Amino acid sequence: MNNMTNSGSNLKKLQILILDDEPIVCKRLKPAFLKAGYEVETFTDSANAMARTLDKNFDIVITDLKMEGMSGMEFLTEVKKQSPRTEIIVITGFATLEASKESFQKGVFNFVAKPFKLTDILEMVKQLKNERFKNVI
Amino acid sequence: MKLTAGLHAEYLSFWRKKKPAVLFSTLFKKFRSILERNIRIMELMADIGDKLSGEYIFDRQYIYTITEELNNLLRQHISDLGDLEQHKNTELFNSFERIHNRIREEISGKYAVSEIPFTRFPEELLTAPNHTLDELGNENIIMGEIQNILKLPVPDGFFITTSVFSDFMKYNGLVPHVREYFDRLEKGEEKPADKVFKDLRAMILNGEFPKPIVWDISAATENINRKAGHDLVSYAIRGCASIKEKGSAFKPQCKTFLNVPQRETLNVYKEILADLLCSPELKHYPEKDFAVSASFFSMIDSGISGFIRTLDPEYPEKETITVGATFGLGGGLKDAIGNLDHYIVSRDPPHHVLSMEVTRKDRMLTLRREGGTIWMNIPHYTCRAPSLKPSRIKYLAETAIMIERYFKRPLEIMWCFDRKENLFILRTNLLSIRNSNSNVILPVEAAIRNAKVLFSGKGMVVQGGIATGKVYVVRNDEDLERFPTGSILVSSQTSPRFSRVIRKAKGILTGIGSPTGHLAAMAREFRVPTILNCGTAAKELKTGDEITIDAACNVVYCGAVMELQRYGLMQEDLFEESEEYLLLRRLLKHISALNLIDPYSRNFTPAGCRTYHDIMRYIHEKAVQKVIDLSKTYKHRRHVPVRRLETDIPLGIFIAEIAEEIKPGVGSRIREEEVNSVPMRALLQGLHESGMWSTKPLSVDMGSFMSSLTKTFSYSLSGPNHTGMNLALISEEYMNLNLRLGYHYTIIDAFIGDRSEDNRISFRFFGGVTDFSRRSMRVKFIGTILERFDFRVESHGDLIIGRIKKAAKSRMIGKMKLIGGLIGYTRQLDVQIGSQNSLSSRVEDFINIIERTMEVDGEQHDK
Repeated sequence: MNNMTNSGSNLKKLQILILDDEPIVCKRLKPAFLKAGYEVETFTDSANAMARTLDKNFDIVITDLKMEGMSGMEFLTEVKKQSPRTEIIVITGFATLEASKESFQKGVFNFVAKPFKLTDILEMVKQLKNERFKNVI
Repeated sequence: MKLTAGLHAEYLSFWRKKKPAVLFSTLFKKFRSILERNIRIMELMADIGDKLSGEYIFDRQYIYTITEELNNLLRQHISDLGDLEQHKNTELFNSFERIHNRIREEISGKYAVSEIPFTRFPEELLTAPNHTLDELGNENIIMGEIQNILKLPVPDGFFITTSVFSDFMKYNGLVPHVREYFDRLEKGEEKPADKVFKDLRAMILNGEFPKPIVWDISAATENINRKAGHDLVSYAIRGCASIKEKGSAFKPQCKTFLNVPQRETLNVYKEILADLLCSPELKHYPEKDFAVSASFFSMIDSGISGFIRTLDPEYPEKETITVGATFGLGGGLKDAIGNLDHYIVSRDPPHHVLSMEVTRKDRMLTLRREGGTIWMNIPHYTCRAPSLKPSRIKYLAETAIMIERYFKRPLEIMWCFDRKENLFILRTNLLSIRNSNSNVILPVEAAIRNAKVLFSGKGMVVQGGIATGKVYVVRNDEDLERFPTGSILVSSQTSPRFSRVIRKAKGILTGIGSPTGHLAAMAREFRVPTILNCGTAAKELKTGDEITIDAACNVVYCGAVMELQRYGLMQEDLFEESEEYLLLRRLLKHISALNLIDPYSRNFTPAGCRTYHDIMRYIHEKAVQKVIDLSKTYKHRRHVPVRRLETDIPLGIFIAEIAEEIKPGVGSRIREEEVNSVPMRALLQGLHESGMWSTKPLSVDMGSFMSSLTKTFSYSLSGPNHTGMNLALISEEYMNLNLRLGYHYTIIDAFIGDRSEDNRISFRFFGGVTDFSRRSMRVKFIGTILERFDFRVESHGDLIIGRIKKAAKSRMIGKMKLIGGLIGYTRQLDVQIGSQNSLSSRVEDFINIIERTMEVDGEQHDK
């Protein structure tokens, strides 16, 4: 759905893709990440998000798991296949041990149960940025 | 079934002298499970409140999951009470089903159309089943919130819901005509559409209203007449059209009809419909599904009217407020352009006037006696006078910023001062700001990077949002009295007293405090950005320091980060306007609101339960009562679970220990030192150490006071023979005490453990022997004392309730000691307090003595 990008600086910013079929999650995460100085694209449909990742490599992908069509697990598997350097954070309302194990086996950076604190996910991304993406602002 | 049969056997055993079939301990376990489930239900209710803070990201799945868990807990609760009382609670279950259905309807978004009334009063919106946005439209909902939540003056009036529109259209067979009209517009058949347009207009104006609508509107106007004290009320009527289709760009404009006599109200409503449905504008906006509501506000004979814009739409970075004002009615604003005075005012308090342009105002719109309006010439000696005095401009700016703070959007507000100089808010619209989103992101990033962080992630966010302003540290009541509008309230701890100034506060920071306490609830209600539990970080702040709170990100910056504040005002999607937020808030009304307060009131029945909290409260009360009754039945048995408390103070207390296993052979008495319940021990200490119970003259000032108390109230009346049997249910951390002393009845329910989050005390006091005024003084006395010690206080007639929760153990022990002192003191209090003066001195005397008692482990008590 919404593929809005906010740019305005010549320096490369950390690129984040957010995928969650519940619009409220995208609507709330996007301004928070923009305000913190990241570039953000949000999707509520996994097929559209998939198509976008074919055009552009994102630094960080934040994805839900349970969605209609392509599931979040399938999506993150594909993303990792295309771009192993992309770090993935899973956000899910169905946080089972199995889902968590499978996600970590597929190389996700973190697995977060919804509801979560906005500051926690911002901190997580900041930590990722400091550790893995030192060359971006 | 076995249990029920057993219980019958138990009761009959009293006559047959047989051993009870069901052990008291078995029933007690059922009671324990009710108490434990109470805590879980409270936690879930608090959790929902937390999610409204804006600090959490949640989705619909969370809403489904949490409501399902609550449903299951409530079902189990009702079933457990049934087991305890040995009968099925059909009526209670029916109430549960009724509330459950409401919750289901809210979640599914489907509700019975027949339930939508034709009219609604603004005050009803607080408790109305909340599909009200569809019923009334955004503009009217905003007016309702301004009146109900912000408590700002809005003219008396009522709303006509969208069901009047739909019923009127159906009743007059207009729906097919409207469809035909729009079909032709879509196909571009303009000429036939013109004809349909004329026909449609005529049909609307000639239409008739179904009788029930006429009756309802007539009843509503009679209600307004009663409030006004006469039947000559005329109305300002304004339509509010909303498009149900999502993402619709069409914002239909409705004009306001002024000074409409009652006999003309329905005709004016038809004109509003005709104007809307036959508007040429619709050609460009071919949406079909729109609904119309209307507001009927009693007409204010205004001396001055105008608008106020909380931000300059063209140059938001200037941080100014624009006020336009003229003499007479606000309806004349459009025609008075050029004759309006303009004031540019600073957004920051004290809202200095930065510039003003006073024009010559030759005429003003006024009320015509027979209805409608008329232009009148303004005498030449006043036409050049400024329409607003500086004090009124400041008042207007403060009010407008308060409204903006709540709605978190730049606003345009229409207002008027009546002939007695009372301010009324007439209408509020969201203000469109030029290039709002793209212009604020880049500056805010840089501003945040450069701003000095005072502290980050220190506390708990209870209400998101951004606030810039000057710190005002509140240490005592005097500070609170002087709290300047537009400041940021900083305090070492929370207090329900802060609710007095919450409308004036831009933000709140406290050293300690609970995210589920009263202040947190108030902060959410008024949407004041609030971070509690900041620890010592808050202590570093001094009155006058300029700071910026970003409560969503839990950061406090040094200085005013204006870019951040503007960013907050111009966010594209506001959390508080999201469907999920609104749904959760609506659900809370069915879940957390508490209507059953007084167990002795007539509505304290299963049918009187309107929320899950009511059901929980009802079950708790009945379960406690049942255990007391059961303990009487069982008290002559060998394994006595209830023991008499041996104490010097004649309280007549029996103790029932809530333990996993009831120890056999523990004897029929328990000494004070054997009581290992934290709240119970603290209560008894409070009674002893304060000396409030003593019937002998005391050596301190209190002596004369106490001895005079006893002159008018016989000792014997407060002796053990008259206290009856009072039951305390205790565990190590819990106490539920039902205490009848003389004519006073007290219920204390307390949990004091190591985790502050679990701690709570509720103190209910009612009954008395004197006349109403003295009882009322007593209620004031207890209320004042409890408030002074940070209890949240409610009084309902002769009942007073004080609650405190989520405080640290040592603080809660101090509070229990206070209650101990209060119990000793209030058993005959009302006979002593005769006047307001003596009330104040009693309060001070009491506080002087109790403060010493309340010190716990060397801690100074916080008054």
